[in-house]
Amino acid sequence: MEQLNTFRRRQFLKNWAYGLGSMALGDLLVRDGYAAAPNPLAPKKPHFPGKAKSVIFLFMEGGPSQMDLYDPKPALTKYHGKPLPAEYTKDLKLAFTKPTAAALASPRVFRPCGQSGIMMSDYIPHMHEVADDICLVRSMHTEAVNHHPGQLFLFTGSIQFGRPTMGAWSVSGLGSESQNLPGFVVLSSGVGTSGGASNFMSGFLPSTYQGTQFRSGGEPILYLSNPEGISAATQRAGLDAIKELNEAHLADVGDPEIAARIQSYELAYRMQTSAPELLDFSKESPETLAMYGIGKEPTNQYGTNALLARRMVERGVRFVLMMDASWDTHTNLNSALKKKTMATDQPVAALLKDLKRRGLLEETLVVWGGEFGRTPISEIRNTSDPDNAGRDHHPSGYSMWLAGGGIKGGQVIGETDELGFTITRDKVEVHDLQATILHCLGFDHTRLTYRHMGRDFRLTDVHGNVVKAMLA
Amino acid sequence: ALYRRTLYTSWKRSGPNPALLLFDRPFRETCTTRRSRTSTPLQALNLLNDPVFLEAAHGLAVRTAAEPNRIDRMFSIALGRPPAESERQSLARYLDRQIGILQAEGRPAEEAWTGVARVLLNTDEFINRN
Repeated sequence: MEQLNTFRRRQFLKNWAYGLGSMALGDLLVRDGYAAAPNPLAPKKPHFPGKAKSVIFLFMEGGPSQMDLYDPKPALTKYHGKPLPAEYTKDLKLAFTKPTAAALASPRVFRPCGQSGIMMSDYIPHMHEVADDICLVRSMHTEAVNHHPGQLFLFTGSIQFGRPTMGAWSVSGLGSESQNLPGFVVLSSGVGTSGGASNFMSGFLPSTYQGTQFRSGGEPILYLSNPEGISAATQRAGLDAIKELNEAHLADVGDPEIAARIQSYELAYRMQTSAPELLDFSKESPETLAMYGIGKEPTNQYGTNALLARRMVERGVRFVLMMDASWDTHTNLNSALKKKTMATDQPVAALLKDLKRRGLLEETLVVWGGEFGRTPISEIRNTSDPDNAGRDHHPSGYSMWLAGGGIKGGQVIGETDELGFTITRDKVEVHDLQATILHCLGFDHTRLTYRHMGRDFRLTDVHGNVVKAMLA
Repeated sequence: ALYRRTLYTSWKRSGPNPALLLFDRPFRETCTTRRSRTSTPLQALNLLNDPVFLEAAHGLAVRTAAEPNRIDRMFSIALGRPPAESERQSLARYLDRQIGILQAEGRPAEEAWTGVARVLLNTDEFINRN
């Protein structure tokens, strides 16, 4: 009897909510974010046709050392081992190092690469071959001096935790071209990222848009396999029954969220079969595998992720974030940086070449860089070891590069002073980079907004200008 | 951690509990007056395939093993109302199909009741307060 009363009350409330006022209320529910539209990942049109259909963000967590890779500073040799003139260091605020620390010249050898003659160091020989495809920015500037805020700023446009990330914005704006895979996928390599899940969260956007993190070892997607004792036939029979009950429930109450639930169960089931196909490299040629450095050390892990990224954009995944840790070379700069570049240089260059020869680079935007750069002065944590010197975090002048969809390759944007402390030409703020990435996807960054807590939010907050010089 | 209620798991700001993350847990940066409600394939994979939910389904089957109207009892435990006749029939048809599958696989037919529970625990009505 008690159950019967509950039943009646519930039925009454349902009929009131969904029966009488269903049309108006349904609309309000959708707009308030209470209920999802039938397929939140269906492909959507951007503000204008974008050159890029998808993004592969090669995030080098920790802050790669620009003056040992992309921004040569021969003048540092003059001051090597000595403190720098105060005019360079008077406004410096560093995480660990005092501004009076000695200068650290780079032992790297730079040479001009490609037709464009972009100077690159001997640590990244494979990148030399694709110099004419990249737009190198030597004048990046960020607001944060430490890792987690720096990563939040790069990916969400705010150092405050909780905003949606670039990948989530992209998928919410464009939907997904893939019916069998998530729209936003995260791959990781190396050890530890400070930002972790906050680099791919959806913030206050619906969680449909958050990044799906494939794991770097073991099962790449959690719970992708049926649990022990559940066969394929059992799984399908269960899903059919779930669908039948959900459909009956949908017909009864008309809540669009139930339709979304039915779809997500079916996508989950399709992912159980499509994801293993994605992960299976047996149909890739030995030449392709060798190009990425798959099957040999130290390139295997990053090469595998890079090839996966290509396979994902081929299959319609909108945004791939590859997080590689850690480029945070406070100590043992030369050996630590060598290790990082040995593991990633070949796969990164291979990704650009492979995308290009398949005609995918034109519609895929590739971005490389960290949350900040590193200082021209040295950080010494162990004074008894002469090889111990490293570099501290440097937010006020560092390098990143972009390539592919919508970007004009073979050029350098911006410049830092002769010692690499400050930007002397064409400063590019993180919000400008974000505005430019969204532009390549076809969005006016000021109009890609989401109402939350009474106001419209956007990736670039109230800042950002598209850097027109970067565009093709 | 498998058998620990999420209420008691430790809270790591940048490394949140995966199940909580999948189910739209608030970020704790600001007051949350209403929790957002989404449905993603990862939630489906979690509820279908995480062993803890399979064991929960098994628990519901064991708990109702002696009930004369087992489908009805499971249904009302899970959803707080008796099934409509069409729902009862859907589950009965599923039960028959599942017993057939298990027999073909040489597994005990009793497992089909875990299947019924698993279906109920994955319905939208169970996941959300409708």
